[in-house]
Amino acid sequence: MALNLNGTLVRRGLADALPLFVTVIPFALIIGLAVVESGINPLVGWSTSPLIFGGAAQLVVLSLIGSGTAALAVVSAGLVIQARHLLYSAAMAPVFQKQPRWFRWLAPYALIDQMFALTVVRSADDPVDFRSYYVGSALVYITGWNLTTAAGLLIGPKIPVGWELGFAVPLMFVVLLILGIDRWPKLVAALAAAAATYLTAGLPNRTSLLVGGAVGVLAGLLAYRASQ
Amino acid sequence: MSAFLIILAVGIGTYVTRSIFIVALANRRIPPLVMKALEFVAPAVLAALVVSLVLRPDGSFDVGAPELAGFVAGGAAIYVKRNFLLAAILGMSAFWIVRAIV
Repeated sequence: MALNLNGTLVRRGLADALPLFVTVIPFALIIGLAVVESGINPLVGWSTSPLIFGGAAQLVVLSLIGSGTAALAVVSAGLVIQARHLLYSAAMAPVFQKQPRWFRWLAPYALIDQMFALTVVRSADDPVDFRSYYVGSALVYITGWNLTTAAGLLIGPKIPVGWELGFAVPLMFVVLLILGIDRWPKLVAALAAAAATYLTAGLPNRTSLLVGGAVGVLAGLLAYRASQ
Repeated sequence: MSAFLIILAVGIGTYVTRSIFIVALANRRIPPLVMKALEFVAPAVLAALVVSLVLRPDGSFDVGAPELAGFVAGGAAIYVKRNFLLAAILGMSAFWIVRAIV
């Protein structure tokens, strides 16, 4: 299995991904903190970083396990959040047809939001250049994310309770939400989901989360249709 | 089911969502309606999540002036600057400042 990489492009991938990664460091620290707050075994909680490798889903899984939610509800909530990656996978499939088999199997592991944003614009590059750039930027995110979430685990317990750093968790969800709303049908989806979740909050095992999500997607589609 | 098995299940599921079209279904076309629906999954689920995080078990909102200030400051920062670091700092600062005042 020859890697066959272009060093210049690997370095460019590293250089492009690094500043982008720095902006998510606080988020990574919050994940570490959420592990501590959830009361799960720290190593098991941290394993969300290498296994799930997606901040929003990690936060959801950790906070739901921490609040004693039923396993099936946690898994479905986590996977619903991750469903957007199907979009990335579909969008990148043609590009990866020009890549060797080993890379087609390994690369999707690192196809997180930022990796998609960084690499989709290089779809037309020479396959070796594309692969090199992808490897460079993926290295930044894989090592950076696992190390900073581990750091959050160590720093978290040392932060005084009075600072109420736990507020950072809903704050980051609001920030992620606003970051993703670039068209008004998405705003409709978010508002409908929020209302539906509120109205069904009495349902057991946080089922309201899934009801809210489904209602939001439907409302978003209707709003999109109306805007056509 | 133990916490680790839950995490493992979400991890495997995540890899499937990221790899399925690249590894297995490269030549299949996804119905446009499904592609469109996927776009709304993230905003819908995140909004549902925020609501369920700030609701008390009795159905009332667990959001006071400090939280509201934090959401507005963090939200404005990410909307204008698209920067997580800035949003986290401003959001938490607004939260702390208002909490100290009220």
